[in-house]
Amino acid sequence: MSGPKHLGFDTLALHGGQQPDPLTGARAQPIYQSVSFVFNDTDEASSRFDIARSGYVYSRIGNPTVAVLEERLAMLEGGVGAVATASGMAAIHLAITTLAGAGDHIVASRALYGGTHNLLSYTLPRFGIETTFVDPRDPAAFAAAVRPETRLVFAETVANPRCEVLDIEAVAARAHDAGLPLVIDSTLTTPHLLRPLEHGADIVVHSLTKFIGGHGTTMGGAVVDGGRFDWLRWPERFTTLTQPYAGFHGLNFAEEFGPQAFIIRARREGLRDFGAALPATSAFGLLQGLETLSLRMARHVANARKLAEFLAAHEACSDVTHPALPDHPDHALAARLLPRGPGAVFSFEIKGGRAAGRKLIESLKLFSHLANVGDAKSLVIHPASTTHARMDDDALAEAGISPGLVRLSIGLEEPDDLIDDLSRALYRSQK
Amino acid sequence: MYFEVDGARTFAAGRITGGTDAPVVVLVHGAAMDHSIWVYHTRYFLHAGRDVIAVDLPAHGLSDGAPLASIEDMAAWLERCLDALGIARAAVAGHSMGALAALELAGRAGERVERLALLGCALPMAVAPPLLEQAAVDSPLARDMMVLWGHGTRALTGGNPVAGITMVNAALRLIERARPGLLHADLYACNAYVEGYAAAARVSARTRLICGSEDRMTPTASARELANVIPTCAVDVIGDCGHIMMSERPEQTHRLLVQALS
Repeated sequence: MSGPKHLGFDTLALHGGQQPDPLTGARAQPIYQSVSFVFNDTDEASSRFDIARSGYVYSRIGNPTVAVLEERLAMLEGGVGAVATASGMAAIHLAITTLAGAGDHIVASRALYGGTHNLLSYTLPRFGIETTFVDPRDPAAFAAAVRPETRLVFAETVANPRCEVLDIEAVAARAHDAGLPLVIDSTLTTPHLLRPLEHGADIVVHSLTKFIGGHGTTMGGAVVDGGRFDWLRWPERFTTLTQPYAGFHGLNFAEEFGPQAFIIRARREGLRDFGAALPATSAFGLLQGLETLSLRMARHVANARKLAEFLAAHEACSDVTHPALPDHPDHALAARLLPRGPGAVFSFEIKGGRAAGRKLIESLKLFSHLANVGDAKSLVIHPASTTHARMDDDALAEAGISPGLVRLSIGLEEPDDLIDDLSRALYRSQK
Repeated sequence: MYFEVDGARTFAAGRITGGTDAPVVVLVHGAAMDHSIWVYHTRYFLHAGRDVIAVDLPAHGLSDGAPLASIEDMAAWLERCLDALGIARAAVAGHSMGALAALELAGRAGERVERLALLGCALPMAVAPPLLEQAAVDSPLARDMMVLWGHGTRALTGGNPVAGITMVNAALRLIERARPGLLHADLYACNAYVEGYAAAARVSARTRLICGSEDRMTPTASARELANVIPTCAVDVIGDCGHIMMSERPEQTHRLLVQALS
């Protein structure tokens, strides 16, 4: 039988988390550019500090403009709640440190954004958190790497730049069998293409800087809590949530907040103490992007597919790693998991290696040469001549980057114009 | 805290110190929910120095035991719960099914219940047949009916004063945690409760009915009829609010609840 329906994705992308401003009637979300908020009396003040009443205290912990973005993201992902952060890296850090501390361990996909890899490989070990990296295409490898001190499993929906697609259901099942939450970075797919919580993930992180903001203007990140993981089933493992916390007079987050335990702790400890809060002006900018997410993503995906097909047929190119192409190793998985398309970031190999890559980059006119993805404009980077220019070919190989690897982030331009631009640049690169 | 009632492990959020003259605040959740629906209110009364418990009924939340089959059974269990904790004087608030249990308790317990707050309460608390049917087979549709009919129109798009929390999904996740069959057992008990007016007439506690103006499950007009039967009863209607007022309008609910139980 049919019953009441939840509001649809595109409706929530426009309205989620927001009511017209009660004082002015402003339809657009106002920017509450205020650090702090007046208390009506001392009882209200002290009880808000003690998480005993709703309301705002200080914009590092919560801000009305930022809250609209948070609630909207949580609705779009199907989560119980969200916390916005200053960047995607801050979101990953917040998710991890809400669950793990010195002596703890993470199992992570080895196909990760470079910044995440740096955090897990070099920075978190200084604070006593170790990571084992595994092949994302081998769900059993995640289970095999689990140790008694493991606290979470981490992976990306579609990895950057080689587009390994994660079988979220299979990895979630392995994580749950081991009593662990699966934390998923869904930056490159956005909730328009994939909602990881519906496939068994427990926590989703985003760099909002990319497709959600969508215009290369605003940095931000978010952690979304699915609210389904039962922390109290393993009280000795998830002590940040299941044991009394002296920072709030013995508050036991899992007992008191139930399904909201993780996200409340993330806000009330992680934002409070690490302080990587999102400014209200940034939240406003990101909300503008979110309102048109579906329209933009559909165009991003369609353009990317045309460009990938063009490059796959070009004699100067090989190894086009776009999952929509039939020869991609994850083509079937992507078709099942990402029916709207696998995103708009992919890479290819240019014949002629490092020198050809350099020529290509310098010959492109519409593609912008920069270190970002997910802009409305098309972007390109050639790691061997930019971010990894100091490495010789052997060192590049160790880092998993070939001399001819070129990464594209396909924007919203006319696809034929992009093809013309690439066609000219590829011709010059082979001279 | 954990304690035993009828030999079963029982959970209640909150604290009993015995160090206050005020009656102990007792908060009772609704169908397929648990103590966490009262989290801000529990924490507030603790913060204010009151003794307070937000109890999980048997088979709910962190409490063991079997589901109670009727509202009368729930009221009797609550009395035994008060006995187990040595609570001689109580200020009781219940939401929805919990409000029926609180009403029945107040009708039985006489002056032991000094204050009564009934949130989202009406008589009869008839449950729509499609909801009962779907709950009987533990269908996800039953949970959707609970949360989508249970919230006012405004809550469906959000705007939660608790930053970052989605009201609808939070309620949905809570109900998803309920054991198989529990939602149906609770709804059946609500639907079958016919002694409410008799209990209401016996209530000696000063009572407050807190309603949501858009409550489709326990409409305000029905709540007012109930209020006319309770000897000392005031009615407050929270505007632009559905059935789950603790999360939909937490600050307004807070103020009314504090007034009701003080």
